[in-house]
Amino acid sequence: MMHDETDDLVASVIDGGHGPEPLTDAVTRIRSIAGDLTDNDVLRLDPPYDLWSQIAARVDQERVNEQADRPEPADRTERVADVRLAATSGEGTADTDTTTSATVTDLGSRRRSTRLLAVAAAVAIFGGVGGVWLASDDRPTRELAAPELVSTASLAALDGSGQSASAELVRETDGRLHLELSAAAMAAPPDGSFFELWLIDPAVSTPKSLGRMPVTNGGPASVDVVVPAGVDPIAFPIVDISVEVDDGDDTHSGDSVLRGQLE
Amino acid sequence: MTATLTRAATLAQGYGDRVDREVRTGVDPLVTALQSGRDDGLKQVYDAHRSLVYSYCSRILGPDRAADATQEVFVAAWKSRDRYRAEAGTLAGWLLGIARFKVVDQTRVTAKHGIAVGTDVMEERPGTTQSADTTAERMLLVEALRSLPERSREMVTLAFFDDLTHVQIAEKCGVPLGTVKSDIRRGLERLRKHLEGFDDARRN
Repeated sequence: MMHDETDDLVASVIDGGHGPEPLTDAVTRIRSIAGDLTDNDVLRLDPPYDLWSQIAARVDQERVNEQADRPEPADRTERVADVRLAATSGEGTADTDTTTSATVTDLGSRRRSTRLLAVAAAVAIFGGVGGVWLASDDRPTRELAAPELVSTASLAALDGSGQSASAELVRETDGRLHLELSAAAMAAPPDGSFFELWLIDPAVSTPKSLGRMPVTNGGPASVDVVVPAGVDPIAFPIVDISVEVDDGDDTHSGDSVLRGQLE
Repeated sequence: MTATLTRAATLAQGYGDRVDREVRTGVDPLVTALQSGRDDGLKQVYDAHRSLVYSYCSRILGPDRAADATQEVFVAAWKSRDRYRAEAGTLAGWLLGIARFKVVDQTRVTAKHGIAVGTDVMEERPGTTQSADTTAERMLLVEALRSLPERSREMVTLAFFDDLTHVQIAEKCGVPLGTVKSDIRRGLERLRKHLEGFDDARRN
C-alpha cells in the first residue's frame, strides 16, 4: 500500500536516513525548533474577558466599510436569498426562475419546501453561488414570519432492529437552521457509550457532529439542535445517529444505528 | 531538554479537550467558520486560538499591549479571511503569521518611543524580528503537539525530542512498528502544517 511506503520513508528520514529534500528539511527544522523549546513556550494566558466584544465591534465597523466599498455584488446573492426565503408559487416542474413572486412556506407545506430546496440547489449550481448560502447567512437576514420547514428525512435502522426516526430541518424566524429529530421507543446505548447525531456528505468523508442525543432506555427520544454555521445541509444531506464510545475520540465511530436522507 | 519536552507533553494532555477533529478528517471546521464572514464564525476561531495569539503577543510586547495587538490580529484575520489557504498550512500557523507582523510593527513603534517591551524582546535584542519568528515557531510546535491525539503526541515527542528510533518507540510503547510509523508520519504532517501556515502568512 502507498501509505506504508510513505510511512517507511518518513520513518527512515526521522531515524537519520536520507530522503527527499523537503522532507529532510522539515525534519531538520522541527528538530532545531524542538531543541530550543523553553517552559515559556508551553504557557498560555487568556486575554481579558471583554476583548471579544471589542473585536466584534471593530469587525462590524469593517463590515460596513466593506459593503460601502462594494455596492455591486448584492444582485445575484439577493436572488438566491429570495429563493432561500420563499418558494415559488407556481406548481409546474422545478425551474430556476428565481424572480417569480413568492410566498413564504409554512411548516405544513412540505412539498413546496422540498421544491424550494431543489430550486435553491439548482440556482447554486447554475448560478455559481455556493450552496452554503442556504445554510449560512453572512448578510443581515430578513425575519421570517413563521418557522419554515426546509426538508425532512426518514431514518431507518442499519442494524435490522426495525428502529426508525424522523427528522425535520427547519429554518427558525431568526434565520437559523434547526434539525429536529424524534424517535419512538429507543433502547439506550451500551454502558460507557452514547448516541451522537451527525450530518454527512454523500461521499461520507467528513461527518459533521450535531452533538449527543439523549435517550432514556425504552422511551421516546427527541432532540432539537442548531445546525452550525458553515455546515450546509445541501452538501451534508445524510442524517445519521451513531453509537460513540466515551473515549475522547470525537470523530465518527463508524458504528451507525440509524440513517436517512434529507429531501 | 528532555525534561522540558516531557513537561510540554504532560501539560499538553491537559488540553486534550481541544484535540482537533482536523487531525483525522483533514478539514478544519473553523476555516468554514472564518470564511463565512459571520461574527459567530470569527468567534469560534477566536475561542479556539485566542490564548495562543494573546500569549504570543504578550511575550513579545508585554502584557500591557498584548490585548490591543490580539485585537488587531483577529480583525486582520477577518479582513483577509479570503486569503487563507488551508492547503498551505493550519489556521493556528496563519494567525501567528499575522500576529508576527503586528508585533514586529509594534516593537518598531515601541523602540522609537523607548517604551518597555516584553521579556523575550528584552532578552534577545537587537534581534527583535528574529525573536518574533523563533518564538512563534516554538509556540506553534507546542500548539501542534497539543492538537495531536494522545498516542500520536507521545510518539512524536519520543521521535523528535528524545531522538528515539521508530523501533525503540515501538518497544517502549508496546505497539506495532507500523502503527508507530503511521502515527509519527501524521504527527509530522501536523507539525509541518502549523509551521507552513506561519510561513505562508509571512510571505503574503
